[in-house]
Amino acid sequence: MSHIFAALTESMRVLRFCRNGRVPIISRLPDEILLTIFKHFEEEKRLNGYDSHDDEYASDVTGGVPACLVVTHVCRHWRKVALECPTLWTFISSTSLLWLDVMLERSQKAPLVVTYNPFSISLDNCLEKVLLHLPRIKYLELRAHSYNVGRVMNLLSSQPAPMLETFKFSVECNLLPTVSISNTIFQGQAPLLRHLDVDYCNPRWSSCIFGGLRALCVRKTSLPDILSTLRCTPVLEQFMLQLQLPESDQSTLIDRVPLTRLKNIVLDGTSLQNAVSLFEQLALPVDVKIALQLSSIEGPPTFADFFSVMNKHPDGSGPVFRSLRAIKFKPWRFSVQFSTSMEINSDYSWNPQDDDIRLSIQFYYEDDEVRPNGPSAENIIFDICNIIAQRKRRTFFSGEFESINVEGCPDFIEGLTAALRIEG
Amino acid sequence: MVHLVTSDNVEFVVDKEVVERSVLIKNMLEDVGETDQSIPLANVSSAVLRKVIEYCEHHRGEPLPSADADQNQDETRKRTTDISEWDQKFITVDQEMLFEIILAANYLDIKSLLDVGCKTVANMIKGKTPDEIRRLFNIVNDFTPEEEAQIKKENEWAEDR
Repeated sequence: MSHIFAALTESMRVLRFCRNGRVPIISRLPDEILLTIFKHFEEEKRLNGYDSHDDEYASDVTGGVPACLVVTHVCRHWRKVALECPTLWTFISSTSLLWLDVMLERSQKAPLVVTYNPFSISLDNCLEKVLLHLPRIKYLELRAHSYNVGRVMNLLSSQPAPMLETFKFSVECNLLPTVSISNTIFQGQAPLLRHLDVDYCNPRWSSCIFGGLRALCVRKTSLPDILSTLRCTPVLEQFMLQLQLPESDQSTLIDRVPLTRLKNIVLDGTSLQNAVSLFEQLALPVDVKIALQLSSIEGPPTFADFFSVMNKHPDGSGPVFRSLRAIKFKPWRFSVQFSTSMEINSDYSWNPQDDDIRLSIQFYYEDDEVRPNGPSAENIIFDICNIIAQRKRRTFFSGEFESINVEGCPDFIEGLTAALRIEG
Repeated sequence: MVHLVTSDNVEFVVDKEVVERSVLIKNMLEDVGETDQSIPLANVSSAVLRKVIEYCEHHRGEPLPSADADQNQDETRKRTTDISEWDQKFITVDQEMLFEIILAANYLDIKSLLDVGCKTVANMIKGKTPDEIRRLFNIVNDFTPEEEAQIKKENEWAEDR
């Protein structure tokens, strides 16, 4: 009897399978389109999460359940399509060893994207297992606790990383960096590495492993360390730095570091003094885009000193600024942006990625009420404009004064306009 | 102007710039040159082609997405932006039409329309349980007992996380 019942059950299941291939309208879609839908679903769920009323399938991006699990539980066909696509299972952020095994198995040999943000999790359980797959990791983002850095470095040095394109590494600590990236990392082999982002650790390397970098982002480091780093990255195109330079940490000028391919440089949260110290040491292309977010403009040095070291080309060449945007965001926070284009971007926020803008300076400054004898922020902006106008002689500003926008400061606009007409 | 004939034998006369959002038709026109001959679209009905032309008209002049655009993005960022308001309104149709538009976009090689359709289906799945997804698309549970056991195990792991 049970035999007959089992046979009937199986027949019904086969009938249901056949029905699924014919009746639902969605079954008309070929597998590759169904897969595209799954990829959109996976991406949306992984990056944004969602509000599900069923906790079992609610995505907790750091919790370990693969984003695409739900589609593998709908029907046999969907499960087959999802399981046969390794790239659906390559986004690893799971700390659950069970799910980690599942993801590593289902992703087969596909390049992995590994992202761990241990503000909410501990890497202790899974790190060794994940980094066993270092040779097929193409994107690696790790944050280690300071007590654990040695172990992490050992793991990162245990194998080459022939597919690694992006490496983001930070150390969770509140002190100035004491951690260095070892020269033996990836056993010296990461030929595709193009993007490095490090925080709270010294990239004090001399290894050729970083020679192919196109983008470098460094936070909380010192000037000598960053200069030694830059000497090893001759083809760097994008450089973002948050410099914390102690007062006594001045480098002796030997040879300026040539960055001949640099397209843009962003200094974030640094003082005018540190900016001058850094630019003194760099030889930049004439058309590099520069964005400064200055935490302090206390001198010396002055903005005049800054412009002197920023653009030291023997022939005086450099981008011709054709428009200016001086924007007052809110009290104590100002931005000045110079562009080689006369197009006005409607987005007035500080945006170092803006293609039109060649020079962007944002700074904080307390106004006259706090500092009665100091110059007003408008005067400082005026000085900046004047310096650039003088440096560029008559090529700066060609009548496009409508480009100037300082909210609530009509006197400043008039004064600047008049001054620049006299100058140019 | 380009003449298109649908599977139900309806002829559409469409501006070349509009219809060239379809890579399939663009390549055809490049191969045969200027012609008054109608192009038969055996896989697309007139109701669906009308919608496709509406989409192409609206997006006339916009740059076509490059084939490798998705690959150059940061791995942890979204490859594409959300569906625009107009596209959302455009794609608010019944399931039958939605899947027909997706199939037509795939056949005609209109990547942006295919993306809009696929994202719309992905959004329909979002936030639903397998049961709800089955009901939504009229699918029935056809797992074998072994697969059911595996799924049960996976659900237990999900609960244990």
